[in-house]
Amino acid sequence: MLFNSYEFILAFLPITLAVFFFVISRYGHEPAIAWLVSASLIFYAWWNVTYLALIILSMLINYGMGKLLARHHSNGAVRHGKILLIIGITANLGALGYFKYANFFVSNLNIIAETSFQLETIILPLAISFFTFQQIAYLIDAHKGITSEFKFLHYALFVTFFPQLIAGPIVHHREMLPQFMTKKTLRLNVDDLSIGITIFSIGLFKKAVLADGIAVYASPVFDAAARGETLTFFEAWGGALAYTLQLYFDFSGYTDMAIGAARMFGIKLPLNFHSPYKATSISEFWRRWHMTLSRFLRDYVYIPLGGNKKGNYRRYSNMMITMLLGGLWHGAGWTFVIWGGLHGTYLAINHGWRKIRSTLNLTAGWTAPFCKIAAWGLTFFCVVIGWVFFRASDLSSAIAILEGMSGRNGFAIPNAIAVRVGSFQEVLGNLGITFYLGGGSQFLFTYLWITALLSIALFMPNTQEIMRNFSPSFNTHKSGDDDALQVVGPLKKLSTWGPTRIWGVFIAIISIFGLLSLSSVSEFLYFQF
Amino acid sequence: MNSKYFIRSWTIALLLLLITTTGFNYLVDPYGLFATPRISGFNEKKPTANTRVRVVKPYQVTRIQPHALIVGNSRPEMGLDPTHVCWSAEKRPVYSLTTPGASVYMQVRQTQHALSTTPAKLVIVGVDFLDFLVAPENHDDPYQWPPSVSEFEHRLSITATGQDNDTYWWQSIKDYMTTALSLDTLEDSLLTITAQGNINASNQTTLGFNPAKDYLDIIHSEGQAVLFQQKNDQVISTLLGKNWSIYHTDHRWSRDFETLKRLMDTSKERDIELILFINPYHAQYLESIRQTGLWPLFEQWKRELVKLTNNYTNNSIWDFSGYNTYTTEAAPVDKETTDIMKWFWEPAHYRKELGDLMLVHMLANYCPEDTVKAEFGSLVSVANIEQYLARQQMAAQTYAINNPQIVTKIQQLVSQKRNAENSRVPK
Repeated sequence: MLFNSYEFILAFLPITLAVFFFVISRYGHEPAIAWLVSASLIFYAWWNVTYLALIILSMLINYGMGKLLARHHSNGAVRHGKILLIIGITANLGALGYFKYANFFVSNLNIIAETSFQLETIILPLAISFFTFQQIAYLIDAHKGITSEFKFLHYALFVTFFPQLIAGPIVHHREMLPQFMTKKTLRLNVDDLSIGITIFSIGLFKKAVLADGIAVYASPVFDAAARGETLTFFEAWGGALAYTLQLYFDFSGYTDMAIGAARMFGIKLPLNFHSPYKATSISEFWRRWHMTLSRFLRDYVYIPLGGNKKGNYRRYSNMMITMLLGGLWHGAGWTFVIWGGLHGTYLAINHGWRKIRSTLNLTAGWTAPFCKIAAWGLTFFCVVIGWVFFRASDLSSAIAILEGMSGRNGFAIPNAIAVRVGSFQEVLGNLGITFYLGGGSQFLFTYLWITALLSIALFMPNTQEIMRNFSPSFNTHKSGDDDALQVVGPLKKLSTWGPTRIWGVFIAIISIFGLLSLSSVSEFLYFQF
Repeated sequence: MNSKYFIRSWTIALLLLLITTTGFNYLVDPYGLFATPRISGFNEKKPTANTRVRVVKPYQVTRIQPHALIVGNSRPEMGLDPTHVCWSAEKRPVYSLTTPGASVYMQVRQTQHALSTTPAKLVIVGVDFLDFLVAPENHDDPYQWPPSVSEFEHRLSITATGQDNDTYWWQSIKDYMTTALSLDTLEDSLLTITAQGNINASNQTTLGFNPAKDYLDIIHSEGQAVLFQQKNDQVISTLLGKNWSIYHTDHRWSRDFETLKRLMDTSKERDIELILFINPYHAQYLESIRQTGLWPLFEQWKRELVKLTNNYTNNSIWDFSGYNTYTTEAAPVDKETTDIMKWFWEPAHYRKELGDLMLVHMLANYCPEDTVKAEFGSLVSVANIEQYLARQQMAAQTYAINNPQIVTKIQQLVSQKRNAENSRVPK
C-alpha cells in the first residue's frame, strides 16, 4: 500500500488509528501494540503476501539471536558471542545478497568467465534493504550488551512499524523500543495528531505535487539517453536538474509522511533529511541527506573499519569502502558503485582541502558571501553529476547525459521559443545556438519547474524548521551558519508552525493539493532500493 | 498548546475546499465528461479535452446515443465533421468516436462498446497505413482472441468476446471520481476559463469532433512550412524505424487485420452498414513512403483491405490516399506565416474542408439532392484494385517529375536518417 494512495489515506490510516485508540483505551497498552503489529503486517502483505513469511521468519530468527547474544554478553562468553554474531550478520547479508545481488553477480560472472549460467529473475522483497540493516544493528548492539530486554511484540513493532517499514527512516532500536515501552507516547493526543497531520500533509504535497510534477521532465531525457539519442546542453541539464529535484522531493516527502504518520500514534521517528541541497560542502551534504543511512554506515561500517583512528591512508580508504558499499546498497548495478565511488572521492577531496586550509591557516576570509556561494555551487554541481549515474539505466546513458551537459553536442533551443524572442534570435544564432522543431512547451516547463522547485529547496525552511517549536522528530540536526545556505530571518519567523486556526486553514490547503493529486498515483523512488 | 482549534479549522477548511473544487471541476467540466451545459465565454470551448479523450469518449458516446459513428485516429477526428449536411436526419446524432494515436485494436474495441450501448447502425472507419505496420520480431499468433486485456478496456461495457464487462461499473465510478477530485482537472478547469477568449483555442465538440484550430496558432507564429518539415521528419523516422511488414512473422495475417475482421463480423450479425476509408495523405507523405521503399507494402496493405471488405455485402471501402488536386496542394516552403493551405494542416492531417468532400462521396446515399460532388477518392474493390494501383503508380511518377525539388528534399531527409541510424553505436 503506497502512502500516496486512496487506500492508505482514506482507509488504512484512519482505521488503524481509530482501532488503535479504541483498543488502548479499552484494553490497554500491550493489545494496542499487538494491533499495530498486525496492521503493519497487513500493510506489508498488501503488496505480496508471500514475502510476509520472509519478514516474520527474519524477525523470529533475529530476535532469538539477539536474546542469545545478550545472554552471552552478560555471561562474559565473548568468543561464543562473536561466532554467533558473525553467523547472524552472515545470515542477514546472505538473504539480502540472494534477493538483491544474485542476478547481478551471475551476470557479471558470465561476462568475466564467459560462462552462461542462467538464474531466474528474483523479485526483490520490498523493504528488505531497510529491515536487514535495522536488524544487523540490533544484533551488533546485543553483542556489545547495549540492548536491554524486550518482549518479542515490541521487537516486532520496531521492525515492522508501517510508517518506517518500506523505505526508512532506518530506525535504531535505541530510539524506538523505549518509546514503545512508556505509556506516555502511544496514546490518543490531539497535539500529536495535529502535528502528525501537518507533517504528513507537507510530505504528501512534496511527493504528489512537487516530485510527481517535475518527474515528467526528467524521465524522457534519461529515456532518450538510454535509446542512444544525442542530447544537447539544455536538454541534458534540464533532465539532470529535474531528476535532482524529483529525487529530493520524492524521498524527503516520503520521509515526512512516515514521520507524520508515526507522530499520529505519538511516536517520533529520527530525522532523515535536513535541506541537503543547501549544504556548502559535500560532508555537510551527507550530514543532511538520508541521514539515518549515513548514520548506519558510519556506526556499523566506517567506525568498525577503523574510522579515522588508524592514520590518513586508512581513513581515506575506509571512507571509500563505506561509500562504495553505500552505493551498492542502493542497487545491484555498476552505476550505483560509480555513484558511491564518486562520493567517496568527493569526501576525500573535501577532507584533504580542510586539512590544507587548517595547516596553512587559511580560515580568514573564507566566510565571505562570495566564498559561501562558490562552495555551495561546487557542492551542488558535484551532487548533480552524481545523480546522473544514480538515475541512468546504464553506464553508456550516464555518459551520454554528461556529454550533453558538457556542451560537446552543442546548444539548442526550441524554434517555438526562438521566434518569440524577436530580434534577440539573431544574437542567439550568433552565439552558436541552434533551433529545433517541436518541444517548445516541454522546454519552457522544464525550466519553470526547475526554477520553482530549486527555489523551494534552497530558500524555504524545511519541515523540521517549520515545526521547530514542537520537536517534530526524535533528533535534531545541528550545523554552523557557514555549513549551509540559511533561511532569511523574516521568512523563518513567518513560517513557524503553531496549532492555530490560521495554520489549520493553511495546512488544509496543502492537504487538499495532496489529496487531489492522488488520482495519478506513482511509486516512491526509494521503494526500489 | 491547544490543538482543538487547529483540528477543527483544518477539518472544516478541508471539507469546504473539497466541495468547492469538486463543484468547480464539475461546473467547468474541462473534458466534457460530466456534460454540464456549455456556456459561451465560460466553458464552451474545451482546450484541454484532447488530453483525455481515451477516458471520456467511451462515456460520451453512450450518453449521446448516436445513430452513426465516425471511427479512427486523429485524422478523422480533425477531418470529418459529425454535423456535415450529408448526415441525414435519421442518422443523427453522429458521434466521432475517434482517438488520437489509438491502435486498430483500441479503435475497434471502442466501437464494439458503442455498438452495444447505442442504436448506431452506420459506422465509417478511417484506416491508416502506419497503424497496420508490424515489427519483424512480432511472433504473436494473430488469430489468438482475445489478446491480453489492456487497461483501457476496463471502461468498455463489453469484453473482446462480447460478454458484459464486470469491471465497467467500478471503472466508471473511479473515472468520474478521479476526474472530479483531481488537481490536474482543477488546473485544466482554470485553463478552460482563461482560454475562452482565444479564437484558435483547441477544442472538442460535444460530438467528439476536434476542429484543430490550435494549428492556426502555430502557423501564425512559426509558419506552416515548419509543420510540414516536422511531420515529414517524424514520418520518415517511423517508416525507417524497423524492417516493417503488414503480417506477423510466420503468418500471412496480423492482429490488426483480425481485429478489423471481427468488427466486420459484428456489423454483419447486427446488420450495421460499415464504410471503410483510407485517409488522404499529402503527396509529400506519399513521397516519403516511396523513398523509404515501402510503396509495395502500401499497395499490399490496400489489397488485403479490399479483399477483406469485399467478403461482406454490407461493407464498402474508399481510398482517398491517391494523387489529385487536393493531395498535391502546394505547401509553403519558407517560413512565411500568413500563407495557409486550404486542404491540409500538415502532410498527415487534412482539414475539415477536405473531410467535407470525402463525406459527400461516402454518404452519397444520404446527402441532400442538390449537394455538389467534386471528383475525389475512389470506391475500390477486388475487381478494380489492380488497375487502380497501377494508375496510382503512374500518378506518383508524374508528381515526382513535376516536383523535383520536393523529391530531392525528401530523398535528403531519408538518407540523413539512414546515415544517422547506421552511425549509431549499437547498444
